[in-house]
Amino acid sequence: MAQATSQFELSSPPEDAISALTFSPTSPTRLLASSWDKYVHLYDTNAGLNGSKLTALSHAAPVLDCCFGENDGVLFSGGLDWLVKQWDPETGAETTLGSHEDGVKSVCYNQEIKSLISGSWDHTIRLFDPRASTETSKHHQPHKIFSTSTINHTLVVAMASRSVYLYDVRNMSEPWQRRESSLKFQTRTVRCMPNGQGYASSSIEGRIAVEFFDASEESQKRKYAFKCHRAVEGGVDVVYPVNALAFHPNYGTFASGGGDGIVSLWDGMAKRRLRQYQKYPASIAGLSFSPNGKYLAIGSSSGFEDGNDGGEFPPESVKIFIRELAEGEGKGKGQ
Amino acid sequence: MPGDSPPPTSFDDIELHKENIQPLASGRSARALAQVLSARASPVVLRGENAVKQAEFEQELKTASELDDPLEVWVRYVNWTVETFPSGSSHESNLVHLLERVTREFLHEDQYKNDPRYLKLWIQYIQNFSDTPREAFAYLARHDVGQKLALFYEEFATLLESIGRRHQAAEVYHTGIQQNARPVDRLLRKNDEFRQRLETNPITDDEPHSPALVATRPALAVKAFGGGLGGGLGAPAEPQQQQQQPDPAPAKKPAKMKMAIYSDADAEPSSRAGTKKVTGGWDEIGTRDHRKKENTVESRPFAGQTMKQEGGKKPSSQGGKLAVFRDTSLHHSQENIIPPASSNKRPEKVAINLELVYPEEGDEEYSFEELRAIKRGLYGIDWKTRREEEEYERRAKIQAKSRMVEEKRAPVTVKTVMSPSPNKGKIKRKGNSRNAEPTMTFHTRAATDEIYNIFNQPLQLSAGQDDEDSENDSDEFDGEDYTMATNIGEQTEQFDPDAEGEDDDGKSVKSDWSDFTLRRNLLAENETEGEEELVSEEELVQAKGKIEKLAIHKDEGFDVFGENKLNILRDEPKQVATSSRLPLQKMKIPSPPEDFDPPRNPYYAGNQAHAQNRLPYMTPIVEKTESLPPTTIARRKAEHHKTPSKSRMPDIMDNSFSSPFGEILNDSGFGVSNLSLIDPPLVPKERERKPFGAKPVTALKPVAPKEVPIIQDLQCNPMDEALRAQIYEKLQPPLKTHEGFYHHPKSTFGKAAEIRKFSKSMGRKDSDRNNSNSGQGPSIDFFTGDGVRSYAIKRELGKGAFAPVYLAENMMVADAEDEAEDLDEDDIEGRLELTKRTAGRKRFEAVKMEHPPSPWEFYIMRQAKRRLGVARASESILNAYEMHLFSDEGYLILEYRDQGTILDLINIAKADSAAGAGVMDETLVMFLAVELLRTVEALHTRGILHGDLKADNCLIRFDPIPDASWSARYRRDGADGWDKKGVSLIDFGRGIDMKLFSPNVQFIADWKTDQQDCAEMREMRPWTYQVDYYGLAAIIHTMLFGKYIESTAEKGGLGAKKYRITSTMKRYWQQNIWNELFDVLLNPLLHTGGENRGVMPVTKAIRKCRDGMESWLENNCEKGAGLRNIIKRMEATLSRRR
Repeated sequence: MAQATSQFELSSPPEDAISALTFSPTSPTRLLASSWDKYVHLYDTNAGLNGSKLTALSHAAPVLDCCFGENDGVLFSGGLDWLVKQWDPETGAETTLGSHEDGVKSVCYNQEIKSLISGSWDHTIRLFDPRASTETSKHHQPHKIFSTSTINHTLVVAMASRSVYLYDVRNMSEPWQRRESSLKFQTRTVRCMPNGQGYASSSIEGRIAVEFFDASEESQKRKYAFKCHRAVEGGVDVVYPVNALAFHPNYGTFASGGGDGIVSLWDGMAKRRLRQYQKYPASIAGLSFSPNGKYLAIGSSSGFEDGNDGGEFPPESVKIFIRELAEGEGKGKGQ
Repeated sequence: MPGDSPPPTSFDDIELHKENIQPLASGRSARALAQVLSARASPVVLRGENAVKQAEFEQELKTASELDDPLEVWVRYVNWTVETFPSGSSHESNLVHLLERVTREFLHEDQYKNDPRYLKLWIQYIQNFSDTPREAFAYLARHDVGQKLALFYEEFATLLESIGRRHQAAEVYHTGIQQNARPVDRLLRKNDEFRQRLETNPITDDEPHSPALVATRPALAVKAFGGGLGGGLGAPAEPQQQQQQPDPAPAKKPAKMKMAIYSDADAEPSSRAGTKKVTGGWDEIGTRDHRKKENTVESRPFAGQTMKQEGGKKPSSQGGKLAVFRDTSLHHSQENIIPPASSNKRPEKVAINLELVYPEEGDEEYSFEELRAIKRGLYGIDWKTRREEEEYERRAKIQAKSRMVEEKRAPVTVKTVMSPSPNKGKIKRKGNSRNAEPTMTFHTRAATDEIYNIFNQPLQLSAGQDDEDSENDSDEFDGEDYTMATNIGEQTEQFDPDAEGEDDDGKSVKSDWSDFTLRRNLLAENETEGEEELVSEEELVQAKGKIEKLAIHKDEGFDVFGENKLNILRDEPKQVATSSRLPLQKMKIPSPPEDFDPPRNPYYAGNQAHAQNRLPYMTPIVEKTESLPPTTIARRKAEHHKTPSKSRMPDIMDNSFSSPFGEILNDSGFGVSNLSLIDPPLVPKERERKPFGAKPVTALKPVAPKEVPIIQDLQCNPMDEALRAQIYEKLQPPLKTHEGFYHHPKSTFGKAAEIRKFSKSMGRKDSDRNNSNSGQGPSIDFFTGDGVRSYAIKRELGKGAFAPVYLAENMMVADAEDEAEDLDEDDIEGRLELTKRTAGRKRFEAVKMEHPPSPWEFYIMRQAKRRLGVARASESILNAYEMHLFSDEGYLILEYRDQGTILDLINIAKADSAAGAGVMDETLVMFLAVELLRTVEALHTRGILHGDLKADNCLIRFDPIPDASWSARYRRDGADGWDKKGVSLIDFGRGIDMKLFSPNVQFIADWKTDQQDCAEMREMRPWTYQVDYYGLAAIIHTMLFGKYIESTAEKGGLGAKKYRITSTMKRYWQQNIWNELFDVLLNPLLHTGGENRGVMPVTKAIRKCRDGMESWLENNCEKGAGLRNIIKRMEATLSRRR
C-alpha cells in the first residue's frame, strides 16, 4: 500500500508492546520509546531512510514510561520493576534514582524545579533530584497513579477512581486542587497544554476532556469533554479507549490516539477536529510531537483493550511511525 | 360537610365567585360562602385570619388525643376548611394534607372503624383527591373501615357503576346487604334502584366481570374485603398503571390480588372470619404526595442532564429525547454495551473489556498496563524483597544488564536467593520449579564472583553467535526452562560453559550489533516484500478489472450494444498484455447513443494508425493500463481510437455520459477514477502541438496501482497547500502532461507589479477600456516549447483576494485575425490555415494572475472538462486554455465571457423596478437554477466539487443565436437553441477532486465562515458535498429574493437538524418546487435514502427537483413575457452594460 510520503516507519521498532513515546524536548530527531520488551529505545529519526536505533537500555521488567531530562543526554524511565532509572545514552551509564513499591506507571520531568516526578501504582508520587540521584520527597495519593504530566509549576496527577490532583511542584505537601475527572470512566492519559493553561485527559471510554488549571468559575466554565474514537460496526457504536494524547508545541492543538488505531488532530480552542489520519494497523499506544512541531511520532501496537494479550504478542504488530507535518498542519482555526 | 343554612343570603354575593367555588355533593352553605367571599375584598387580612384559625385547630389537635372524641375536632377542622376555602384544595387550605392526616390517624382505631363521620372523611378524600378511588375503597375494606355502614357500599357501588363495572357494583351491594350495613333500609333501597337501572339497561357482556358471581358468594364478602373484594377489584391495577407510575404500596397489590382471586373463588362463604385481618401486605395506601413522588424531579447535580419540560404526564411525546442519562454504575457494568443516552442514538459498545478494568470484587480498578502485567504474571511481584536478596550479587553485576533480568512468571517465593541477571532465567526456574533450593540462601559472594567471572567470559563471543544465543535464550524461556532450572539450581556453583553461553549477560555490549544485523534483515525483507506486493497488486487489479468491467457494464444498461462492448472489454487485457494490435473485428465500438454523430469513417483507419503510432510507447502503456481501474480501459481505448481524427473528439464513452445511461454509470461507478482515463487523449494532442515529444512517454510511465487514493486521511482540509503538494506529486498522469500546462519552477516572472500598476492607472484614467488598439497594456510573453505566447493586458476584469483577472488580447489570434482581414474573401485556404492557427482560441481572453501561484484551479477545470466530456454540463464549465506556472506567479489563461455573472443579473433586476419588486422573474430564476443544478449534478457524479459556488462565480452564457433557430418554447434537452443559453462556472480555486480522497473522507474548512458557507462549516462539522449544495441554495436564494441566504435549523423528528430558509416566498411562486429544492439542498443528508449507496451526492434527489422544474418551465415558459423574451432583454441589458 502506498503510504503518504510524509510518513515513514521507524526501522527496528521495539519487539513488544509500546508503552510510551516521547520526543526530546530539545532536538527534533531524538525519540525515546519504552516498551514491554523491557527496553527503552532511543532513536535518531533522521538517520538514514527510516531512522535508526541509537541504543536501548534495559529494565528488569517491562518499562511503562520514559522521558527526557534536562537535555538529550539525560533519560529517565520507570517500569514494572518498581525502579526509576536515569540513563546516559552516550555511555550507557545507568543510575537507579529510587524505587517505588509497585510498578512505576508514569515519569515526567519538570524543568522548573529540575526534578523527575514519578507516579506509581503504589499510590505515591515521588520527586527525584537527578543531579544528586536521590529521592527528594514522596507524596501519598489516595489511589493508584495512572498518568502524570507537568508544565511550568503545575503537576497533574491522574489516578484511579477518576481522581485528578493538581500540585504546585514548589509545594508538594498538599495538592493545590483536588478534582474529579470530567469523564465517567477510568482516566487513561493526562497531558498539559504547552501554554500552561490547562490539560487534556482521556478515558478508556472514547472521550477527551479539556480542563483548565485556573479554579475560577469563568475558567472552569470553559472546560468541556467530547466523544471520539468511536466506530460504527454493525449498527453499534464501538467505543475505543483513548490511549494517547500529545499537544502540539506551537499551536496548542493536540493529537489523540485511540484503541481503534486512529490518530486525530483537535483544535481544543475551537472545539473541533482538524484532521483524522488514516487508520494505523493497531491500537495507538503513544504519540509525541517533536519540539519544533514538525513531526508526530505515532506508536502503534496491540492494546490490551479486550484483555486478550495473553503474552502472545506478535512483534510485527509493533510499529513506530514518524509523520512529517506539512506547513500549517496542526494549526488551529484562526491561528 | 357544611352545616345548615337557614337565613336567606343574597345570591349576588356568591354569583360573582361561582366559578371559584368547588361544588360539594352535599351543597354549600350560602351564608358561609357569602361570609367567606365578602371577606375576599381584603385577601391579606383574610389570609391572616385563616392562618390564626388554622393554628388554633392545630393546637386543639395536639391535645385531641385526650378527648373522648378526638375525631370531632378533626371534623370541625375539615368542615371549617371546606367552607373557608370554597375554591377547593389549595396551598392555603391544604385540604388534601388535612384529610390525609385525619384518615391515617384513625385507621386502626376500632372506635371509629364504623363511625360515619370518619368514613365520610375518607369518602371526601377519595372523591376529591384519590387517583385510584377503587383501590382506596378496597383499601378501606381491607382495613375494615366502614364495613358496617351502608354509606360505604353505596359510595363504592356508585363509583363502580359510574365507571361501568356494574357486575362489581352489584356484588358490592350484595355484600353490603349481607353485612347488614346500617342503615339497612337505605342500602336496600339503593340496591333496588340499582337493580332497576340494571333492568332498563341490562349488563352487556363486554362489561368487566368480577371474577366471582355475586350470587354464589353471599358472605364471601368477608373475606372479600380481606381480599375478595379486592379481588373483585382486580382491574384497578390497570388504570392505575396507565395513570401513573407504580408506587410501592400498590405495586405489591397485584400479586396479592391474584392470590385472593384464585383462593377466594372457591372459598366458602364464611361470615366474618376474614374481617379480623387479611391485611398483611397492604398497610398503607400512601398519601398523594407519596404516590406522586415518582413524577417529581429529584434535585440532583445539573451536569449532563436535560431538563424535563413538563411533568411526567406525557412522556410518550418527548420521552425519548429527555430520557435522563442513567449512570451505569461503574462497578457493576458487566456487559460492555452502554445503553444509549437517548433512544435515537445508536447503542454503544465499549471496545474494552470493562469486566477486567472494573472487576466485581472490591472497588479496585485496573489500568490496561496492570491487566497486561497480570496476564503476563508480572504483577504483584515484590521487587524490593527480590532486590534486597540480590543485594550482594548486585555488586558483582556488570553495569549493563541483560535483557531478561530476573524473569518470573508467578508471584515469587521470595525465599530463594536470586542469582544476578545472568541467571535470571535460572531464577525464574527456581521460583517455579519444584526443585527450588532454599540452600541458595547460602550462596556466598565469593562464589557469585566466581560464577560471574565465568559468566563474563562469553562476552568475547562474536556477534553472530550472540544473536543465535539470544534466540535460543528466548526459546528456552518459553519452554524448557523448568528442566533446565533444576540443573542450574543444583549446580549453582559450577555453571557449565554451555549455560553461560546461553546467558544474556554479554548482550548489553553486543546488543547493538545484534540490532544492526537484525535491522538489516528486516530491511531486506521489507524490500522483497514490497516488490512482491507490488506485483501481486498489479495482478490483482488486472484480475479485478476484468471482473468489474463486466459488472459495470451491466450497470450501464447498454442493452443494445452490450455484446460488442463485452467483447472489447474482455479483449482489452489481452491486447494490453501482448502489446499487439487488436484484432480488427473486435474494434467495433458500440453504436453511440442518442444523437451522437461521431466521425465514423476515419475511425477504423485511424484505429490502425493509432495502434502503430502507439508502438513505441507500448510497454509503458501496458503497465499503466493495468493499473487503471476497470472502466478506464474501455474508455481509454475509445479515446485512443479517436485520437487520430484530431477533431474535437467527442469520445464515445464520455459521450455516453450525456445519455441517461451515462449518468447512471457515473452514479454507480463513482469509485472509478476515470481521471486518468480521460487523460490519454490529450497526450496525442500535445504531441502535435508541442515539441515535447518526450512528454507522453513520461506520462505513460509505469505507475503504482491507482487503486489507492492519493490522500488517505479520513478528515482533512482540502485546501491545505501541503496536501495539494502531495497530490501534485502523485498525480497520474502528472500535471505537466496536461496540454497547455507550462511549468517554470526555476524561473520567476515578476510581472505582477507592472500589471497591477497598469490596471490601477487604467482605473484612474477610466479610458476607452475596450479598445484593443490602445496597446498601452503591458504585454506578457510566455516562452513555451513551440514559441512565444504573447498576451497584451487590456484591463482588469475582476479582483480576487489573491488573483486579479485581466482581460487580455491573445496576440496569436489577433495576428491571425488581422491577417485574415487582409486576405481575399475567396481565400478559403488561407482562412482555414488561420483558423487552424487560432485553434479555437479567441482574440480576447481572460488572464487570472495568481500570486502565490497554484496550478490547482487549472487542474480542477481540466478534470471537470475531461470528465464531463461532451456532456451538456461541459458547456457550463469555463475553458482553461493555458497555465503558466512560475515560482513567483501563475497565469491562468481562461476563456473570456463578457456578459457578467449571475450577480450582475440580480443587480440589474434590482435596479430595474419594472421587472417587478426588484427581483428576477421567477421563470428566469427557474431557468438558471436548472442550468446550475444540471452542471453541479454532473460535476458531482464525476467526483468534482466546485467548493465555492456563489452568484459571482457563475458567468452568464447567453451565446448569441438567431431568433429563427431559437424556439420560444423551452426544451429541457437543450434543443432549439436552448443549449446556447446557460451559465459558466468559474473560480475552481476551491475545487475538490473527490477521487483523490478515500471514499468516506470528510473535510473541514479552516477559513472564517459566514452565512454564505454551509451549515456544516459554520458549525465546524465535517462536510463534503454539502458545500456545493449550500452554494447552490445560496445562489438560487439570492436570485429569488434578491438577498443573501439565511437559514435556520429546526429540530427534526430524528434529532437531526433540519434547515430551512428564513425568507418567505411570494404567494404566486411555485412554492412546492422551491421548498422541495431548498429542502434537498440544505439537508442533503436527509435525502440520501434514494441514492445508490445511501450516501452523498444526492444526485437523484436533485435530479427529481430538476425534473419538476423543467416540466414547469416547459409548460409555463411562454406565459407572461415569455422566458425567451426575458432572456433576450437580459442579454441586451448585459451587452449595454459592457
